[in-house]
Amino acid sequence: MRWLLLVFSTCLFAQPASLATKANQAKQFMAQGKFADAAKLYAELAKVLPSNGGLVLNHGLALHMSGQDKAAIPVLEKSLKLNPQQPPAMLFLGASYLRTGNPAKAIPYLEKFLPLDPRNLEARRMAVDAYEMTGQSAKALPHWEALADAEPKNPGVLYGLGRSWEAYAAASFAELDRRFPESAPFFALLGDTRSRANQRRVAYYLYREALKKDPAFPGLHAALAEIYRLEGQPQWALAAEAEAAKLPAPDCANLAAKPACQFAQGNFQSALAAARRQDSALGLYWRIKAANEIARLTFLRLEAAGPSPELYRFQAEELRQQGRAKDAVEAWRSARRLEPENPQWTRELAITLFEAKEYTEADKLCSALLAQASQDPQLLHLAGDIQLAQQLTDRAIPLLEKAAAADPKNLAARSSLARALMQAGRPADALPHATAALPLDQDGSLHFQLARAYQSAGLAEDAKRTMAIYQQIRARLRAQDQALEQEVQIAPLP
Amino acid sequence: MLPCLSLLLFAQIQFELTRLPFVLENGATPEKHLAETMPGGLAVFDYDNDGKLDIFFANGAELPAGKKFPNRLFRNLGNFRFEDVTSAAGLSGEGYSMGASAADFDGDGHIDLFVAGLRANRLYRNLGNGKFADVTAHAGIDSSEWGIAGAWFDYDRDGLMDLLVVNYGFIDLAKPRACGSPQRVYCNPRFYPPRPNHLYRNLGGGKFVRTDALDAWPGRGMSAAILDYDQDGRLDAFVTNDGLPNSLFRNLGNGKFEEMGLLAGVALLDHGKPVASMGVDVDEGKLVVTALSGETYPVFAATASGQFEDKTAATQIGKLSNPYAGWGVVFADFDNDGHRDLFTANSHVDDTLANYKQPNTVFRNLGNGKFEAVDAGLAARVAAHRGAVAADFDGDGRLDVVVSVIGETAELWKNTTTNVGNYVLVPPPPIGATVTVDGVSRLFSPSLGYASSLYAPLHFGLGKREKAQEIKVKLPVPPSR
Repeated sequence: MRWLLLVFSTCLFAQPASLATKANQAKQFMAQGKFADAAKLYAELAKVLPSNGGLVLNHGLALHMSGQDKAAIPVLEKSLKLNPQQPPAMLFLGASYLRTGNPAKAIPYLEKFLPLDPRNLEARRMAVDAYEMTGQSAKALPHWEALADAEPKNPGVLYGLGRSWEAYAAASFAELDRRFPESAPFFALLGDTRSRANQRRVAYYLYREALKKDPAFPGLHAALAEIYRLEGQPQWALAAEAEAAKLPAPDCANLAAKPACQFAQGNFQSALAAARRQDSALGLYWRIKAANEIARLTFLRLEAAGPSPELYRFQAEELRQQGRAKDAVEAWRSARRLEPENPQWTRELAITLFEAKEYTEADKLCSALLAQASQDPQLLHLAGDIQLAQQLTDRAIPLLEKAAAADPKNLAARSSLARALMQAGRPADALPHATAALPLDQDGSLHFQLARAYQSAGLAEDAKRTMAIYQQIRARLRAQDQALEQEVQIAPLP
Repeated sequence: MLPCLSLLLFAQIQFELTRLPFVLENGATPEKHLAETMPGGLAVFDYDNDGKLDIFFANGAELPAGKKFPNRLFRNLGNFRFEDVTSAAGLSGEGYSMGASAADFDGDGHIDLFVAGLRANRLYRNLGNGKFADVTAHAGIDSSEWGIAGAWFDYDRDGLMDLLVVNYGFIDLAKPRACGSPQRVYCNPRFYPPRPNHLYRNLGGGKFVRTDALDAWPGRGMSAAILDYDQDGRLDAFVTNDGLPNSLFRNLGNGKFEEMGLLAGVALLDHGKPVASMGVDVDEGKLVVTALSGETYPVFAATASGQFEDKTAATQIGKLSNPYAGWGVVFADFDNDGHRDLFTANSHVDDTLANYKQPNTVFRNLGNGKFEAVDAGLAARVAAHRGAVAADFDGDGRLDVVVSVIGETAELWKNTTTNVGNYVLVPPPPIGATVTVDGVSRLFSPSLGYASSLYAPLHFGLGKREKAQEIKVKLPVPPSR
C-alpha cells in the first residue's frame, strides 16, 4: 500500500484546469477502489500527456488494480521506459506478468524491485511464486529465507523454505554431476540416497565405487559398516570401522577442511558458507550435504509449529515418495480437514487415493473437482485413469479422449487411452495413441502394448517388428540387471 | 458313464458353509518372510478307491526352518463327513509344504501324491492299503528349490507320468532377506531371483531324472496348467509367474521345449506389465489366472491361429475381479447348465492391509463369452483364502468347493443350488486325454488353481438335455516310432 499512496499523490502541476480536475477525479476513484473508472480517466489523461511518467504509471496501476493485467503490462513497461527507476512500476509489472501466467517475465522486475524494498513481503511472495512456477525453486531460496525471517512460524513459509533448500541441494548435485561426473563425492552422495531408500546393495556398490576413487573419502567406511550390520555381517562392519579409524582426522585449522569440520559440529550454515567458497567437487559435496541438513531442520521447525495443512502436505509427499500411498492418503485427509476449501488438497487426495487403489473415493473427489473445472486436462486424465483402473472402459474412453485432445503432449493420457481402446476391442483406434506414447516407454511395456494392438488389428508384420523391439528392450534391461547383480554382491572390504 | 437327471427351471448358484478341522498354519512371524504368504495348495482324489473324493491339505512350518505343521489327509466318509487319516496314511510330511499334485505315477491303480515345498518336495507312493510311502529319495526328486506346485503329465509320451515342479525364486533360508525398517514388510518378489522350473522324467521303477529342458527360462513360478495349446498332440505347460511374464512351454516332442509365452500372447496382458500371477485354470481354450487386486484376473483366450487374445475385459472378468486378490481358481459348472462358472479363493498377500481378508467369489458363466458376479452365499465370509478345488463330495451331482484358509479351519462349501441341470460324469481318463461331451472338450489334467490338484471323474453339465448324445475320449497321441 505504501507504493500506492505514493503513486496516488502524483499531481499535475501547471496543467489546464480540466486536466487537473480529471486527475483529481481519477485519484478519488483510486481511493474509493473504483479502479476501472480511474483507469478510463488516466487513459484519457495519458493520451493528452503521453510523456508524463506519473500519469502513465497511474494508468498502468489502475489497470492492474482493476484486474486488466494484459492491458496494464504495456502501460507499465512504457512507464518504466519513461522512468527506469520507478519501483512501483517494477512491482506492478511483475505482478501483472505473474497474474497473466508469465512468471518468467515477472522475475526480472521483481528482482529489480526487491533490493529497493527488501521488507516488502508481498513482493517476496510474488518472487517465490514466480520461481516455483518456473521450476526454479533453488533460486527462490533467498526470498524464502527473508520470508522466514519475517514470519518464522508461518507453516507455508517453512514448507517452502525447506523445499527450496532441497531444490538448492538438487541443483548443486546436478552441477556436481555435470562438472565432476563419477567422482568420489558423486558416488558417495548417490550411495546415501540409495541407502536412505533401503536399497542396500546398490548403496554398497556406490560406496565401493567412491572408495575406489578416493580411499580416504570421509564417511564411506561408516556407511559401509552400517550396511554390513543391516546385512547381518557385524564382523565385516567392525573391520570397516577399523579402516575408518586409520584415516587421519580432518585438520580443522586448514581452510579446506572447514566445511567438513563445521558439518561435523552441526553448524550447517557455516559448513555451507565455507563450502560455497570452494570451487571443487568436495565443495559441492559439502554444499549438498549441508543444504539437505538445513532442509531437514527446516521441516523439523515446520513440525514444531504444530498441525497445519503444509505440515500434512510435507508428510503426505514424503510418504508418497516412499511408496506408502495409503499412509499418504491419511495425511492429505488431515490437510483437507484443516483447509477444506483449498482445492489443491482435494486434488492431491484424489491422486493419492488413485495411487492407493481406493478408486471409489478417488472417483467421487475427482468428479467433484471436474464439476468445477470440466476442461482441466489433468483432472480429465486422472478421472479417465480411475475409470480404467476399475475396468470401466466405456466411461474411461471419453474422459481420456478429452484429456488427450486438451493436451496432446500428455503422452501418459494417450497411453491410457490406447489401453482403454484395446480393452474395448478397438485396436485400430488404439494404434495412433499407442504409437504416440512410445517415448514414455522405459520397460518395453508400451512397445508390447503397441505390438498387441497391431496384432489385434490384423497388422501381423508391424506386430512382429514391434514385438522384436520389445524383446530387445527387455533383453537390454535384463543384461543391465544381471551386470548390476554381479557387481553388487555385498562382500567384506579387501 | 453316469448320466443323471433333474429338471432345469431356474438355477441360482448357492452354497452353504461347513468346516473341516484343518487350520492352514503359515508360520507367520514379525520378520515377514514372503514364503508365509504362499502356502495352501491342496489335492482332491480318491486315495482309497472307495468312490468318494478325499482331501489332502499341504501345511506350513515355522520359518525360516522350524517345526512342521502337519499336512493332513481327510478321508471322505460320505454325507459331508470326513475322518482325519493323516497319521495312518503317513502323510504328515516334513518341512514347509506349499502345494500338492495327485496322479498315479507308477500305474498301479492307486493315486499317488507329490507335495511341493520350500526345499521340501516329497513324493508319496500310495501303497493301496491306506498308507503312503515317502519315496522321494528313491525317486530322486529331492530339491533345494522353493517348490510351490507340481503338475503331472507324460511329456515324452512313453506312457509314464513325468513331473513338472514349479519353483519360485531363490531364497537363502540361512539368511532370509528382511525388508522394511524398523517395521518389517514382505519383500518385493523381485528380491527373489528367478529360478527355473524342474522337469523330472519318469524312468519307470519309481525312478525319475531331472532334465534341463526348462532350465533356460527361469521365473518365479506359482502354478501350472497342462494343455495342448497348439493341438499337435504333445502336452505343453503354462506356468504363472509372480511379477514376471508367464511362461508357456511348448513341447517340441524331442524332449525339448521352447518358451512361447510372449509370442503366443499369454505372457502378459495387453498393457505389457507383468502381474502377480498366482493360480490358473483352463476351460475351452481360456486360461484364467488369479492376481492381485487392481491387476484383474487375466483371461487369455485361444484363437484359431494358435495364438491367445487378452479377453480380460471382454469376458467382464476384468471388472468383476478387479477388487480382489486371488489364489485358488477353478472352472466348475455349479448349476450344470453346460457352462463352467468360475470360483476364486481370494485374499490379499499382505496381512497388514485392511482388505487382507476377502470373500470368495463365483462368476457365473452366461454362455455368451461373458461372466456375471453372483453372491452364492459367499460374500459375507471374509478370510485369508488360498487353495481351492471344486468337486462333488457328497455325490449329489452338484460341485462343491473346498478352500484352505490361513489361520482358520478350511471351508467346505456345499453346493445347495436348486433346479440344477443334468450332468454326466466321465471317469478320469489318462492324463492328457481329451474328453468331448456333445461337442464340449476338456483335456484331463489334475493340476489346477493355486498349487492344487483334482484327480476325479470329469463333470459335464448338460443343462436341459436328459443325457449326453455323444461322449468321446481322445487318448494322448502316441509317439511315432
